Amino acid sequence: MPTEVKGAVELRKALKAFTPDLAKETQKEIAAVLKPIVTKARGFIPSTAPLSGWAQSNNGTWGNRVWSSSDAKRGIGYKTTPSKVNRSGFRSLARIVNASPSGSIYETAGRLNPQGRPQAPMSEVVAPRHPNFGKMTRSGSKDQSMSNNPNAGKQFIDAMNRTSPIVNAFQRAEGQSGRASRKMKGRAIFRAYAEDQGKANAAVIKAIENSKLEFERRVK
Amino acid sequence: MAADVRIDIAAQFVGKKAFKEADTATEKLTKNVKKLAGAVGLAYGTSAVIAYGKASVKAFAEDEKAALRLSRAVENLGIGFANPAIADYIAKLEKSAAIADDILRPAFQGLLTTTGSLTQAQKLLNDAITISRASGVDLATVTEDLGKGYVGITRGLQKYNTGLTRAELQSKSFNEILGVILKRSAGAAEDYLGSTAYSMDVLGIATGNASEIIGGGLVDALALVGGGTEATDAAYVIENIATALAKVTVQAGRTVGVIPTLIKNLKNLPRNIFAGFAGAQIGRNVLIPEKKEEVKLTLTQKKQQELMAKLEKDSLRRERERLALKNKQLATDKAKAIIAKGENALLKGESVFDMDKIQLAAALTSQAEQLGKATNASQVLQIANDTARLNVKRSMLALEDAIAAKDEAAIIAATNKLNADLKVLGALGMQNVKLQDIKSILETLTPKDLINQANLDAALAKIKEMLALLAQVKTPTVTTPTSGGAYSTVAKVAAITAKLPASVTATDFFESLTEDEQAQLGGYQPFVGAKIPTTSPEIFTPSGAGLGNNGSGRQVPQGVTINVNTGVGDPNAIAEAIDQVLIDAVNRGTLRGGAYLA
Repeated sequence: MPTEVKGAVELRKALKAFTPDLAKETQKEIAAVLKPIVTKARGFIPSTAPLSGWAQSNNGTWGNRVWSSSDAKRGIGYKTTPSKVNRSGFRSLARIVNASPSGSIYETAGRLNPQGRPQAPMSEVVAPRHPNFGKMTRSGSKDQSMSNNPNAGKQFIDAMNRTSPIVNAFQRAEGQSGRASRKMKGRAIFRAYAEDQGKANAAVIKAIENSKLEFERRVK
Repeated sequence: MAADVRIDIAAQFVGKKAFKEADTATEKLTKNVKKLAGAVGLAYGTSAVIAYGKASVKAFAEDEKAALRLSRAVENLGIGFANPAIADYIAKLEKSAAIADDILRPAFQGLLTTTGSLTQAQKLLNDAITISRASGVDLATVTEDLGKGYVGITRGLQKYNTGLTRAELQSKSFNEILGVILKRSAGAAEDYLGSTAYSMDVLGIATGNASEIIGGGLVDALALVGGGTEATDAAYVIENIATALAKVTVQAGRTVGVIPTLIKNLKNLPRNIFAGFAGAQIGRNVLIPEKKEEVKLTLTQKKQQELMAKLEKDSLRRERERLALKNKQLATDKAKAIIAKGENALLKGESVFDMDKIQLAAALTSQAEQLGKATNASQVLQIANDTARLNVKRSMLALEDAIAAKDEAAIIAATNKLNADLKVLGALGMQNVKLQDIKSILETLTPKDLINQANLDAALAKIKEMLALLAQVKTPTVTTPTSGGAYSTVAKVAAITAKLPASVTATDFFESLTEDEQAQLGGYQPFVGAKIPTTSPEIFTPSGAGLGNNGSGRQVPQGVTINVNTGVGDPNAIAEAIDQVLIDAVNRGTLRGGAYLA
């Protein structure tokens, strides 16, 4: 039965099926390109908690978000396997990730609200059977801070900015239009990627191209 | 949260459709790889071997079915002897073009039955492959379109971006259209041969063929084990032995991987041996009666050549007939076009004898003659007006003709001409209106007074004339039985005017008169019903009735005749004057012998 190989995802499958050694070689090549960025990004993770209280063990809401430098560094890595299709219909062939909870908070805090989230207003609990019935509590949405300290968010972000600023790694392609994604901003992996200035991206694409040519050469 | 914290490098857009296609392609690839692995006896689990065996049997069955269909079609054309050559051609084409035989066979069969020519079908199939590679349209569709095009239905060929219009597709011959398509598709097949897709197709076809070959062997072998000869029997056996094979170790599995190859070799052994072996295994007699070889008549080389020549000849004859039919159709269309042209010319000829146009032309000629005879500007203007109207009429007729002929250019030209003529007519009309307006304005300036100087002068002249007449004519005398006289109005006027001083104007005098007097002088219109006699009135002749003394008392005494000489004048005025005389006479007491009432 005829089978047509289209795109890098299919190429990778073909490589694995017919030239496994070439597939491994390609992955190694890509890994070699991404590893320096990962190392650099890990270097941007502070060795101590940006806020002293963050490192203390906690059982509350932040129970699983306790700061750990080692976890945050370990959470930074790369993957060379194609991802699942995202909502926009894209599959990434290689990616750098910051997977740990504390690491990702450090990475992105202040990306949306550089001055911290606005404080949620106080309102009276009107539900008769609620334990706080008749009392004034702070009530708001996800976009609002529940802290009684109106500057809590700003203080948190400022503390992290002191260790590493948020860097925008978005590179507008030639002729590209539209709003720039704010999701390319961060303190660790995005900063490292931005400092790489797109060399890694080009190297990964070149590695895929080379593997395609090599594959064609071998199959013929 | 972690989902967002990542940098995607070299992402590939797959989209919904592409994702599905990629999945399908992957599945196919995986399947082919597994088949290939199974065929060469690589390490695969027992279930994989069994599944592969079933799939192989199915593939073989499908392949065999397609081959039989083609074989039957060839036999029906009377060239059954060419079946091996056709099979060889298909096999070679499969390898060279990397297209599976299960696609090539139906395509070739369709073309062969359509064209009825072996060489033509082969040529068209090769062309179809080229076109398919260039256009991306699958081979089955291309062969179907070419087959239809061959018999004159060229509509389907439009999708290959020939650059030809629908009319051109209909009018051009199939070979011409095919030439255009092939020219645009040139090199596509060769380019494909150098691509990775071609390499993958070659691999796929090789594994597919391996499956079919193995499947064929399995069917023969396992069907015998199952006690039959059909593929269904083979499938039954495969399912039964699957349970036993499932218990085999991985090492055994590797051994089983070689089974297909062994079975293939076994296929070449005499059937009785295998049947006997299988029968011994299952403890029953599975000996199958020897199948009698079909006695086939073998044709000599010469006969085969004759048959092939006949086939080609028939095909050519059909082609000639089809072309003749098409030419006939084209000739009919041409004749229709000529007739239409003739009708148009006829219509033009009719216009020469159009009465409207003739009359119009005559009228215009007449106007031109009139223009030569015109003596003043008014006449020229009138002629110009008439000419402009005739021109408008002529333009209207021309426009009607153009509309009837549906000649767009002529319609536009006629409309412009009509507008221009209407403009000229409008300008002339305006001029006429202005002249009429001036005339009416001048007329309004004329005095409409009852008394004006001219009237008065005329009245005075008349008076003078009357006076002159009065001087000549005797004063009318009224013969009455009584004494005394009476003045008529005219006499009165004469008497008064004689006494008038020189300072009194005629107007003063006229206004001093009574209405009746003014009427007598012509100041008022006489009574419509009045009849002014031109001759002297008749002498009154009294009737004899009531005469004598025994009458009613109001009759004239017998024997008295009254003659009134009034001359020419208003009878009413005369009557009134007489009446006045009588009243005066009564008042004076001179009128006796009867009563007279006013």
